[in-house]
Amino acid sequence: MSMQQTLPLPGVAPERTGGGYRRDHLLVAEMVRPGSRVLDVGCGDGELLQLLESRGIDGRGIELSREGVNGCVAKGLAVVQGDADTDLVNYPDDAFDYVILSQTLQATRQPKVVLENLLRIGQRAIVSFPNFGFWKMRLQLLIGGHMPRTENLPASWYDTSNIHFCTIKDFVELCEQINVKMERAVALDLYGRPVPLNLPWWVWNMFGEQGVFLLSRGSGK
Amino acid sequence: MDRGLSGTRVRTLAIACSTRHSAQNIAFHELGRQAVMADPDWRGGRYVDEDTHPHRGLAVARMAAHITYLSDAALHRKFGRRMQDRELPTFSFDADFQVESYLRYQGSSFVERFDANSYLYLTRAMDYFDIAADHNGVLAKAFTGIKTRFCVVSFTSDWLFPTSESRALVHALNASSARVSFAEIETDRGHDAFLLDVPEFLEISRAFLLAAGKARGLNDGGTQS
Repeated sequence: MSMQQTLPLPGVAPERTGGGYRRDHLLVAEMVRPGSRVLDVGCGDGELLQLLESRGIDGRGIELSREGVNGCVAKGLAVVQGDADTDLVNYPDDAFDYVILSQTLQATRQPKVVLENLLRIGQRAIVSFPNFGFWKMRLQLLIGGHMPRTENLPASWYDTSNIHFCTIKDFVELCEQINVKMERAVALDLYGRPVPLNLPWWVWNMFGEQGVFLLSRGSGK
Repeated sequence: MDRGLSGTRVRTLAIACSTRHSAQNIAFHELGRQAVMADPDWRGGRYVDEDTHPHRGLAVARMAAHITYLSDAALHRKFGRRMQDRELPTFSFDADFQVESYLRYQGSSFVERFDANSYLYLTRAMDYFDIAADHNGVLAKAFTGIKTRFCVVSFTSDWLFPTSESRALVHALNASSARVSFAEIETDRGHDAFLLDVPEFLEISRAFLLAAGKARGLNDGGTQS
């Protein structure tokens, strides 16, 4: 039996750009107050940092890949080669107003420890991640019977760097467990558009292709 | 390194360096100084008066130092166990191996251009270098309020000023909110990589300098490699 690689369903080829910037980046940038200090963990080629700096935000980055660091330095950005799992401990408490973890949480070895570090270093954290509860993922596992692969996550299970997938529901539960306050939560669909706010959580968890959360420290319980 | 601490519009490219001399750095310097002072021609430092030169001691000092600039892998790649102008070992203390011949050459050419007492004082001065010590042992305090932009680069095979030293500098700079970039370059060429054609290293240096130039309104045209 020949199993198709991707299901023949609508919603392919996501158009995720808006005015030259990725929609999720624009959403993140909109969550950051102007004039604040930001650390972008896993900043890639520095696209988000550039967007933030163009808005008068003092941005710094950490990036694992040397090509990424090179590209950032060429853009005049302050980016340090490092690993979210091992290097965040070296940053002092309250060093930043915001710490951003964009599409990186699922690639860390210890997501919970990383999340705790984000909110130690920063007053607030902005975390975005692919939602494994997205309907396309569910269908691929349910109907196709294989590990889901999407346009945004095309790697096979054996060569993916994403080792800790979660759903939006899972993430919300983790935040509650480690006493993290969710100040804002947005689910973006495959096109980078927000899923309407008035819909219940299960709809977000089903139709959100990714979740974007603005977090702060919960009241110490 | 110290120079990077002053000035508001300064940019510092810190390559394969450290904020202090480590115990191993001091140990190798001590080896070199002892070699110089063990040379009878050193004459308690008064060799100029007595018209001698502690060339042998200074050459040994340089040979030891030169090894620290390279790496195990680089030495092996360059020389292996190859013989110098001969097929078989002579079973003497002559330079049978190419690596011996190379080191002897490095030593003897160095003495032509370096004064022995200067070597002693210079290495000694470097041993006392410790930025944190001047700030109650807290390195980050040295950078408080600093406006300088830093780009720190280290090399994977550098055992003279290893990446850990560069990372300590980066952490201190981060802790004091300085603008800092950092990259560790993969190479087997040891500390001397900073003198050599290591494309990734040249690329990031170029990127940092170009960004600095752009910030001052300089045109980056015509600098293409």
